[in-house]
Amino acid sequence: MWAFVLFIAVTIVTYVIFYAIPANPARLACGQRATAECIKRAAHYLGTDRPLYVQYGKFFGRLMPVAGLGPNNFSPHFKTPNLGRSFTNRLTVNSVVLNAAPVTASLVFGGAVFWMLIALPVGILSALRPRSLLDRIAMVFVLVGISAHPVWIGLLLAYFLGFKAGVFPITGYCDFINPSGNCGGPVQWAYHLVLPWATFAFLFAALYVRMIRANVMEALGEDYVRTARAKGAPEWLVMRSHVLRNALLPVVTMLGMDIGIALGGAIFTESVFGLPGLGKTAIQAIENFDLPTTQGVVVFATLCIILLTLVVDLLYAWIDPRIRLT
Amino acid sequence: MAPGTEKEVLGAGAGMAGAVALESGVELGEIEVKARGYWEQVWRRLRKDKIAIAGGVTIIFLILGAFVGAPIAQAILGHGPDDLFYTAMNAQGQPIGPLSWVDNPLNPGHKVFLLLGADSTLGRDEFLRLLYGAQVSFEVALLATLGSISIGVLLGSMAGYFRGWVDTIVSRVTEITMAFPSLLFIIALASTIGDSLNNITFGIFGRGVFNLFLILSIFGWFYPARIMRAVVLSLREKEFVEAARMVGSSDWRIIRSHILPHLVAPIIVYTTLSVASFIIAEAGLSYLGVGIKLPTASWGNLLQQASDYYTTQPWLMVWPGLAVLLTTLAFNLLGDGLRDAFDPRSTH
Repeated sequence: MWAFVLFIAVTIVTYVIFYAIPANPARLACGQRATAECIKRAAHYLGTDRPLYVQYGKFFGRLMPVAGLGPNNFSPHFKTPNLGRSFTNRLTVNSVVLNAAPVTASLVFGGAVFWMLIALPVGILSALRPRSLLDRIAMVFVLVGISAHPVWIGLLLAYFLGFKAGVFPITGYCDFINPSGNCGGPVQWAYHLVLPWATFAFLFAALYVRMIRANVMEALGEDYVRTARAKGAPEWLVMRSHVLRNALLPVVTMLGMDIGIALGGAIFTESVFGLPGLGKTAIQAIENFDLPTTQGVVVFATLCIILLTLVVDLLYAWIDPRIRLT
Repeated sequence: MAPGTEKEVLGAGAGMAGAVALESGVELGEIEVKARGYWEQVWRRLRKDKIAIAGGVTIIFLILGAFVGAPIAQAILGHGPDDLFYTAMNAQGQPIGPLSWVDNPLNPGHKVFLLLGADSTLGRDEFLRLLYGAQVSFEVALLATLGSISIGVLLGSMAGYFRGWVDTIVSRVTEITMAFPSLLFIIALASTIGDSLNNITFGIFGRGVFNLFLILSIFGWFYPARIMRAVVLSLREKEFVEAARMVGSSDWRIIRSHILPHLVAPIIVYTTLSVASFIIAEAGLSYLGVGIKLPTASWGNLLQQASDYYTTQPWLMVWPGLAVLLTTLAFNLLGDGLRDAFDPRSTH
């Protein structure tokens, strides 16, 4: 219910922001020497001649999966949610979003795996050996990671690993399933995404190393850890079922929230590496004053974030039996 | 800013309460020994933290460099950050490299010295643009911090203190925006209302600064508001607030003399960390072309220009990135140091 209100609020805000745009999409559609007649026809065709609330109402009606109630008022008609058509190229926004979403999803989820692979071992080891060499190196990494600009990290990686060393491709995206030429399939997909993943993961890896280190150190000082050791439990068992289990709980929540935040951060990585994902689509749409496409991306991203939050809540209740779902 | 910082900054507030309580106890016991004040204690702890002091010194140095050094450098070099030298190209038609003398087309026979080379094929002085870009970055970051923290502290502490409908509205709004793809909204706003606000400079700020300040403040107050709300929520249940209420203090008096002093520590810590994140945000937005627009220099649009030449003139992308790294690193180190100084018992 709350998620629904949130959703409506987000769509209204996008509409209002774009209503403030001085540019008239109908004029853009008519080209440079626009006649009044052409603008009028285009405005009617695009639907921008109607008042804001009518436009929003139509948009919302198309978006709802329920088209109306059946004859006996009990069986609702279902339909696919429709995001409308782009102002600039008249493609359906559904297809635009669905084409871009896998790219961003690959980037975000692959990046999340990447940063957890770095953050888990480094964070845990540096918590076990505080002030060791590894711990010091990890702390420097954390500071640089949270202070450096992601765009800059991307450019540096592209220059040194992509251009100088020529190990990884700098731009381009290969589809996971459909091969086109020699670009396609899981291997090429991963190969082309290594640099974007690394760029994307850098900041979050730094944040997570710091968080995991703090959590593990805190858990190590707890009474139940001392009790477990006093009872003679082997160290690996203490680590596994007492320290890590408690220390990694908040990480699960953070992960869900951060993947949502990361959808926004993907914009930078996508624009550095020229990936045709949601972020790049949104930026192009914003530059062209293409409201339906922008709105489509925003709606889709919000939906993903809401769903992720829900999944995390459920997951959390499953991992931590102390939490009861209400 | 990571959600994780909320808890840590909170700790600083609680620590202050503890430190003050301890202090007054000492004062009562030994009257002839002059007790150290709270701020003196914080300063003593901060002074021992070499890294934080280094961060602070770097910040002062950078701000001086941006606001005093830039005009001096311009006067010494004899040209401005926006002057174009079409002669500043090498044989391959690329922007000229560091430490080079080029002919001045405006003043034939004289040479112009470009310390870090040219910024693009248009041939502006990269070194001067970095310095003037620093001005823009600091203006945006400091103003946006001021704006977002003022709104955040005001709304957050009101929500925490008065509870009721104020709290409901503030909490709901912050929750909604947490689920927003807010970067998309910032970009949309910056590219739509941005152009009409670009020329508002009040005579002292760079072009586009006011526009970014507004947008970043609007989208930046949620975290400080949540932090302040949490701190005030715990403070209002403390005994000293209860005691003040019992002797008949008004809400205003309680807020001013019992709540606000405890908010100073978390506000200072959050401010330093927030400046760092706004500097990154400014560079990011300008990189995407929706922040500070050319010809005004900013670290973000220097980075954007550099990405066009990164195979031929890799140095161009090193400078603005290093500048951002150095600045945010300094603010982050100072912020961490301040947090430890305010609350020595917190663990990191």
